[in-house]
Amino acid sequence: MNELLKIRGLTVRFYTYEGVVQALEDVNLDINRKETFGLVGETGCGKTLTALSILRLVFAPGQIESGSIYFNVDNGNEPVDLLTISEDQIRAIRGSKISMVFQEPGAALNPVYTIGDQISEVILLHRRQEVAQKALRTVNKLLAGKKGFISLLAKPVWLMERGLYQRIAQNPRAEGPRIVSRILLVRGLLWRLKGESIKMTIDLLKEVEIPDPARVARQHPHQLSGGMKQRGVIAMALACSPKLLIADEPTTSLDVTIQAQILQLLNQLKSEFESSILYITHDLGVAAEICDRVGVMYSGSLCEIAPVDEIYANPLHPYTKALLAAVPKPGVEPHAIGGIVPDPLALPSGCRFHPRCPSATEICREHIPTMGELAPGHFVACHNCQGETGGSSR
Amino acid sequence: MQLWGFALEFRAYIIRRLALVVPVLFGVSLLVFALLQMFSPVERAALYVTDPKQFANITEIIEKYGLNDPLWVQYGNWISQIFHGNLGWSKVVSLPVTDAILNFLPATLELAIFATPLIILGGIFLGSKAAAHKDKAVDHITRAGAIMGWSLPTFWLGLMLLMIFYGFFSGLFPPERLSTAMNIVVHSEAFTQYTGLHFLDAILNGNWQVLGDSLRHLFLPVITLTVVQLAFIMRLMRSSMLESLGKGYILTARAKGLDENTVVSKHARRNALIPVLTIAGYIFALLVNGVVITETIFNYKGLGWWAWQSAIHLDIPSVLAFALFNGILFVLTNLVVDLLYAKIDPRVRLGGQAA
Amino acid sequence: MMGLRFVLYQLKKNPLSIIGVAILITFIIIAILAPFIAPPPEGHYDRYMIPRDGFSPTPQPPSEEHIFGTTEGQYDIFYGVIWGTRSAFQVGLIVIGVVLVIGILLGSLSGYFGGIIDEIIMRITDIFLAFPALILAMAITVALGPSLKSVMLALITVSWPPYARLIRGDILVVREEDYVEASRGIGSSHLRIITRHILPNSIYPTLIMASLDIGAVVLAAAALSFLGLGAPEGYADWGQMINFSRNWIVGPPGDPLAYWYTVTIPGIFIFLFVMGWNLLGDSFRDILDPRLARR
Repeated sequence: MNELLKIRGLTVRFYTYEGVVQALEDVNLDINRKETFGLVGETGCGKTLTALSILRLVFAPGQIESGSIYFNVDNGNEPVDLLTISEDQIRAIRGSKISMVFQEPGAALNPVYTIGDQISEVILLHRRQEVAQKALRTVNKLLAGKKGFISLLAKPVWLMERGLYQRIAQNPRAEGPRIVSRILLVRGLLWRLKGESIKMTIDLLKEVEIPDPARVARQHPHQLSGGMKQRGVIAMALACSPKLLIADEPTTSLDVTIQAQILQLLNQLKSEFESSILYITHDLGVAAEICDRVGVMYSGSLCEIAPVDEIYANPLHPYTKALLAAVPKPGVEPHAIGGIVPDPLALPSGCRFHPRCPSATEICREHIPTMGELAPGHFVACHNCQGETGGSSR
Repeated sequence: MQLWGFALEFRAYIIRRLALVVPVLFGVSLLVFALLQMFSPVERAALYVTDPKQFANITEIIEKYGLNDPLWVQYGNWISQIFHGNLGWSKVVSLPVTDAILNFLPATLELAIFATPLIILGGIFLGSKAAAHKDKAVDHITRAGAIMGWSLPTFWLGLMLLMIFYGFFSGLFPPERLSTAMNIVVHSEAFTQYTGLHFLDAILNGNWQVLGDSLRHLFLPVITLTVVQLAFIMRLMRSSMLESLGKGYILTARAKGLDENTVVSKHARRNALIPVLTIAGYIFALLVNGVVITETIFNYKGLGWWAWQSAIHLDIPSVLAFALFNGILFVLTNLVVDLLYAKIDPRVRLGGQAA
Repeated sequence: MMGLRFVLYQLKKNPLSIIGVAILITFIIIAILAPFIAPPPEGHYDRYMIPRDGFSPTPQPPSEEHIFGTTEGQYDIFYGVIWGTRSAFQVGLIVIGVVLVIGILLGSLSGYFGGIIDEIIMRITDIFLAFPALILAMAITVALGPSLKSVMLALITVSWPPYARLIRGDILVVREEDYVEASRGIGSSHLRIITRHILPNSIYPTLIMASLDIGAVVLAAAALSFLGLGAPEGYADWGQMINFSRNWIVGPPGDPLAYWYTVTIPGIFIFLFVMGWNLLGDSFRDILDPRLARR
């Protein structure tokens, strides 16, 4: 079992004033351990929605209609279906096992809290035990330290703190400390948790190559540049060493030079944290640079999945071919794809790409093509391609 | 702007904002002065009368203060009188206007002390509840309640409350500030009036009877003042909260694994409060408007009651002094609000936008 | 621009707005049919003066002759609230109408020409906005001498500044649009550019805001009337009718609610009238608020 995440038959609909939008239709894809999977497609084709479905964060009026998303939480154990587990369980996964980096770092950060506050929040939430242990060590050191007048006064407080930290270290959701944390003044006894988590935050900021991390941790988002903000968001996403990092066009809103840095950073962190990455982009060039495998999405469905070299060398689906032809290359005239993206309210029958497809035939208008593996690891959903290579599943 | 290369600092913002206050205050005084000009010199002379005996020689006063002089001279005289604390004579209470304001202020303050926290905290709480449960039952009920509250004429609400809680439940929550017996106690030798706020004085004197009586009298006016404005803040808070809940950082907060409660109360509410704060000055204006009507209904002798009495007795100096007093107070409130705003929202002072 | 069909669809979907529309239509019908619902007695010199049935100070409970009872001084409550509907519409429409004219005039001057004109007009609005509105209106009414006309003048004086600002803001935005530039390029006159190109594109939100402010204006006028600064005694005006009831809030011992009708009935009329506008306004605001757009 090498798959980390298996999406099967995911269907999402939006119920709007204008009508029902079939935003995702029967999406199937696998993401393996320690791999970077690129999800490529035009704006509005459902890439972000796929990501939000994984975290079960599809917002109204959107609704996940059917399908399942199996996620291998612990190695070896049975994978869980993210769409059926309880709200508490999915919350424990969000931000710790699966985390997400958004397109606009400016919008993704809360303007009224400091960077340090926002990152330490994740740490305090998911790594509470670890934080409490660190705090416990500090308190123990204080208790064992030199005996003096001040330590004599502080000793009862330290003892109380120790009791609380011990309890959290045993059970992060213990009732006692949770009640204490809600009472004004008394909750001050837990102050070391915040302090320790800020220290860990600063380490994280160092990890994502932010200069002067201690100062940045105290700053508000608007005081930072776009690139710095995105590094902060990445640090937040990596705070709990997630199994899967979803990066939703993390470089689109940044300058080209910053883009390259962020991509490099992601590559480097991936090996360091041993995470898989679901990398969402509309830019095939970026996908080529960072991804191991690529899935091409069109109008709510996947049309081709293949290893990255394969898809660039031997694209099979007409849409993939058209996309590749549209990428500007020096000396070559780029080809625009004819026609327009279909209206999500009035999707074409059969293959959704057929009105724009140069080689569409009768069957394309009537039947929705199914995914077939034409070469090892190379899946295509197209009526015409299946014959082309001969390895048809029909 | 170019003069101040460092204009993006907080201090510069304060200076700029303070500089805005002066012309507005000048305009406020001009407007009140213009209203004053609608009266004949004889009527205007009442402004300078500080003792009823002086009414006998009114022509002398007209002469002395040059009430037939060119306008700008008169304005100069008028404003210098104001700076000397001389706002005229209040016929209604037979006191100089300045003293009347000082006398009536504690009663009104007492109302404000109870009503303001209720309005603000209640409005914020209900508004965010409604937004967090948009289109659910809670939302519909609070929304319908808000629209109804906002449509209630303050004076009618007050009278209805009186009819029920003073009439039907005979004398449960009576009008006026204190019952006759307690009024005698308060004005007796044994009772020291430290602040003029009856409930506070009662606590300081340890007189629980006065405290209870004072609170009983405060109940209905405070409710009347609160209901209408609570509705206003609630509506504002709801839409502000809805906007905030649609922001990217809310998605981030959810993606972090935070529970809905934390998302709403920590991440959304703090941001949603910013626009609510910007209209805090407006809440003050509403409060003053409401105070005049509320005090009139409940015969609660505070500034608003005095203003009403002065208005129906066509006591010009008092009404205009009251308007001027509130104008100045309003300008200063807005100043404080803007500075607070800049302090809370770090983006304002850096954006360098004066409100 | 949002489609009219979409707006209507949203209005229809929202039960609150339907109630609002129903209330307002009822009031319009009452106002139009007032002479038939509550016909003035023969030889009555002014239809807006409530007929009196005697001069006894004690209010009389509802009876066959006076179905809502009478106030102190024997003014017929039914006649008063029916004709009071007309007064309310008059006050609301006249005040808002004049405020709109002033607001549009000053707002477009300010927004279109900018510079010193803008500066002067905006500083004047600052001054008016520096007062709590009702207090300033009260002072103006006293200065002009209490009467319904003074109340309307006072309300106009305190209500125009927000409109001037709103229109100015909209015009500042529209002014930069390409089609205005183009019009200027072919040498159109200022007046033509303002009336033909700018106003039609910026006036829509203003008109809606104005129509919804009618409720607030009527409420403020009623408050001033209640304070005794408005209509002459006996004029069909809701605020004044509540003022009549002030001395009759608590009935004789043993029957505390004896005079309930004096305060309750006119109050319900004001309340429903204002609520009708607010219900409609609230739905409009939700629909037109681009931040909460089509969901």
